[in-house]
Amino acid sequence: MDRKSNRIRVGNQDKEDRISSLPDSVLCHILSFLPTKYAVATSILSSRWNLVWSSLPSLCFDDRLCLEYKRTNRLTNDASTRFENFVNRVLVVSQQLNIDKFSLNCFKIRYPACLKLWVSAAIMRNVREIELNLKHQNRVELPESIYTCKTLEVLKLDSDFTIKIPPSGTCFPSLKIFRVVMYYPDNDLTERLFSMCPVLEDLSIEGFLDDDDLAINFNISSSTLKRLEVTLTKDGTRSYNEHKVIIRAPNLEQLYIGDFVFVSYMVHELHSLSKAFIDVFYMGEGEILADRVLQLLKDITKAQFLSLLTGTISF
Amino acid sequence: MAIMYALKSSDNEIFEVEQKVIEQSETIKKMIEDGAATGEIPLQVSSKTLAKVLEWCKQRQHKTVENENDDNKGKRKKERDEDDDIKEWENKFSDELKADKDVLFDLLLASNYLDLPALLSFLCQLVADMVAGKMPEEIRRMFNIENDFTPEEEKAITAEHGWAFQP
Repeated sequence: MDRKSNRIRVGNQDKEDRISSLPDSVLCHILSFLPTKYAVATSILSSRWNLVWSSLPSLCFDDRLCLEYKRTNRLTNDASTRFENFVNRVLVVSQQLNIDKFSLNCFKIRYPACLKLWVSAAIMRNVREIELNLKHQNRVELPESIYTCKTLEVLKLDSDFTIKIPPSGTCFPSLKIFRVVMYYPDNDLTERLFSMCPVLEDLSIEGFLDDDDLAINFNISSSTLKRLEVTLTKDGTRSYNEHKVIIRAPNLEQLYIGDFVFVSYMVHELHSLSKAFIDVFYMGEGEILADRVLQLLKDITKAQFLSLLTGTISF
Repeated sequence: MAIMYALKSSDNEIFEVEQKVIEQSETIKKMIEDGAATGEIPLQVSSKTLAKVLEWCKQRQHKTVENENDDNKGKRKKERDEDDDIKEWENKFSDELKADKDVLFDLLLASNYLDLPALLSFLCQLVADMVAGKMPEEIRRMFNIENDFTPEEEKAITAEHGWAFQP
């Protein structure tokens, strides 16, 4: 399609359309700073803009970007359906053979099966980074292909997903940065998952534990890990628990622990640790449990920089 | 003694610049490495735009040198102050560009041609912020974009990506 002209007459002044004469790569660069919704909306500006967005290497969806949500903090089924159709269309029309990043922030998803399809589509296009947040939706399943994806280097799971580790010894073969929120996880998962990622460098775990449950062991054993962040919170008021964090990471440089549960720690081989931030806080009677923190501190004495924050502990 | 280079703008004005400042441009760096830059380096950029480009490069250069010379003592406060200074400088720079879009687009083209990734990203982000969340008609007006679609075509596009056009 030819453009009729890049000049437009406004009053008596001839004003040039400079933006439309920028090279495609620059227009695409501009659109890459926008959520995909706004990027796609530029398709209606003129024929020059019609397909610029379709070369975007990153797709970033957020169903809250509409007046309805801003006004009511909710979304009708209709709005959700329109959003789902939009994501489907974009994935079909997008011309990029490789997707760098797929991000989905979803307040409401009517058919969780959609999520599997979308993530699979991104994986088939060699996605490097996936970021998912489905808010209050629980136990959402991921497509099986994610666990063996060779291009995935960054994975951020910011809401409750069901993680099914593959029977083979490896999970997420190329994953370097992993952020995961775990609500009342199974011990089988927390014991095995983190040690199965062969090249993991940066791990953040936000765990919510239940004090009626069986003991949960977070087993983090990795020779590639450089940075670890563990934040633990729990329901209930019972002070005693058998939960454990076990860390064996000879190359770990930075350790952040935010413990509001008072779990016990087993720390081994932290030969490279240079910075440690320990924040423990507990509302109940913590006298017996304070020993656990002391033990942890003894184990990380090699750190050159240590920040310690404690609350309501009677030593 | 710093090595100086002479840059020649498309309207034949000469700018004497330190090597460290202009090497932020991958294009010029390559010209120097290839030995193509003996004497004056001719550039397809007007003197007005080149002056603006160099203003940016010098600010960036200033920032890197300052950081290198820092010792650890008192670094935190100094870094904070510096960050504030840079923010303030960048805000002023952005405001000028928003007020004169011709300069903005000249600078965009120049940063693309000179291969200055930091400046290019900064400017693209600036344009993106101007566009974000605006209705198509507002964006067209802002940048003098002529809508060359027929009403039928427009309707088809709206129908195809319905949610994108919902306020």
